[in-house]
Amino acid sequence: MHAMDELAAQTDSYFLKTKAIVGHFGDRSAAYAVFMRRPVICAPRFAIEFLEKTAARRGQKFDIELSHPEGTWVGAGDPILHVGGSLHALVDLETVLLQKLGPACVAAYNAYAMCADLPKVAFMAMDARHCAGAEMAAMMAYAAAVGSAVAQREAGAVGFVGCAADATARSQLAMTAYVLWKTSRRRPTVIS
Amino acid sequence: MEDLAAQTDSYFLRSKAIVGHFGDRQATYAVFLRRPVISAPRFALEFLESMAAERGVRFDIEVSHPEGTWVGAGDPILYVTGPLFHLVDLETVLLQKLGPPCVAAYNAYAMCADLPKVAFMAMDARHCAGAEMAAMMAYAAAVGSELAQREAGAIGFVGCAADATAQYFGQAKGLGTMPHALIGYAGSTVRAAEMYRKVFPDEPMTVLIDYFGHETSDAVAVARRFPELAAAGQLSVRIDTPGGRYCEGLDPARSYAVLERHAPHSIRGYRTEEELRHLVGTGVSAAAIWLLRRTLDEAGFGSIKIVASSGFGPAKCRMMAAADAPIDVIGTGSYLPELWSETYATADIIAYGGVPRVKAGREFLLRKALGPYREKAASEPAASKSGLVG
Repeated sequence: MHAMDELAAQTDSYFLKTKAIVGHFGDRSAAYAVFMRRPVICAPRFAIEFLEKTAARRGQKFDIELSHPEGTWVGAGDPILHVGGSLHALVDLETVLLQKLGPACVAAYNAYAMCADLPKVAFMAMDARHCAGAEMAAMMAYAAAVGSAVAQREAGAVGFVGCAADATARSQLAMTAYVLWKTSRRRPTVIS
Repeated sequence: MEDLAAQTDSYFLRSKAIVGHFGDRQATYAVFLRRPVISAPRFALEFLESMAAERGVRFDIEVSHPEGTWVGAGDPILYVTGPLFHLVDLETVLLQKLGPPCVAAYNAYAMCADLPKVAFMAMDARHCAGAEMAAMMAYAAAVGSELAQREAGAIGFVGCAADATAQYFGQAKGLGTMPHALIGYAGSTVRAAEMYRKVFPDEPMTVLIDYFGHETSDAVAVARRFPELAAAGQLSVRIDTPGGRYCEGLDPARSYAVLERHAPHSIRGYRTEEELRHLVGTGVSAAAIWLLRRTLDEAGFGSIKIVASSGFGPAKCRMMAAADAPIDVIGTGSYLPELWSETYATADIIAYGGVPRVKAGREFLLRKALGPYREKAASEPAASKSGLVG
């Protein structure tokens, strides 16, 4: 299936209908705030990559303001992302965008707590069997890397040193390097 | 299957290499969950069948609890027998496909059975960690719903929000009309309804009424703008009041008064804090639903249906049933497992070459079909039952 068709199939129909209505009555710029209802550790990489790839595919520019950099604490209800852009181009991204943000942030929080409580223990992520599919497994491995990096930084923890499956081992190593680099910058980041 | 080895726990791949070196043998797996569920094994079975075909081997798959039936905690759902060499590297992905839908099916059943006159719409796509999970959850809703239809005469789940999963409900397309994004764009609830009607003139319409905090007055305003549609039974209103505030016209005292009038039995007995929130608290409470129904009826719009959303999981549905809340349709993604750890499925090998052997502590898995061996195995010292037959 074509990437755009696949996205539409995964998207709540009422967003597709809204896109049609906005197309009929005229587009306008919109600003979204994206948040969680509980405290988490920010793990937005999958969500940001999705927005950036979709913007490029649609020839659009989205202003993505990351209020909390990857690997930092976020309070309950505090927006993690602000996304500005054409409502017509953004409105049908919400379903998939939300899929890519929430689970990773909560798992990162858990991974941090475990690593910080046992700083001398090396952790190995063995969650693949408990995930509902490969996409979730990738998110969870990334989340473990993010939470682990925070525990390394804040508590001198050994943290997560790897995982059980090859598919996420590669990404986890890369993510860890990315997270360590990213979290060294404390100010809010704007990506466009 | 693409990338199966990459998705599989490495220790299973190493076991496969060792079995390949020392010689294959038949193995029997028992696959179970630790909590009561409703059996929803289709994805797992399709995976096993496709892998057997791809590898040119035969797996004997015994489904102890057919799709849509009850399974007790720890009771194996599947027994799978085949060459260990070809089964050992399937466990990671097999378990992914079994546990989550079984728990979600249980939740979906409970919700539909508690509210048998309500039509449910699955709106969980946004809560899923990817498309594969969304497909599993839609399938689960359909399985739980069918059981509630059979056992409780429930309407159950009639569809879902996205096209990709509509097939599980016998639909070609996803359902749903307008999100908050459209109301904000339009600038008023009535204007949003007008815009919707202009672009989709031949469809029934459900108008979202909580954006401005004027649930009851906006519902009546929309009804007065489209009286013919309302009279034809083609107009619904959806209430999705956030948990941070009360529905228009309500506060704690008024909420109690509404239930005292319409469903006094619901607030007579002891209720937990969570139950009280569903009955008389902020957000879409039973009191809010009753107030909305009464307001529409008194304005002469008894034919307008009420669609409710916002956290309608098993506990909230139970309270809506306790208060006889006059809901026609519920849109919900809250049948997804709340405690993800409850979805963990486990597979243990219970026989090698037809001889029962299982790790210590899991003797309860020894299958009834192995009856002649069961007592013998159970009487052996635990240590001798552990590990591979070498």
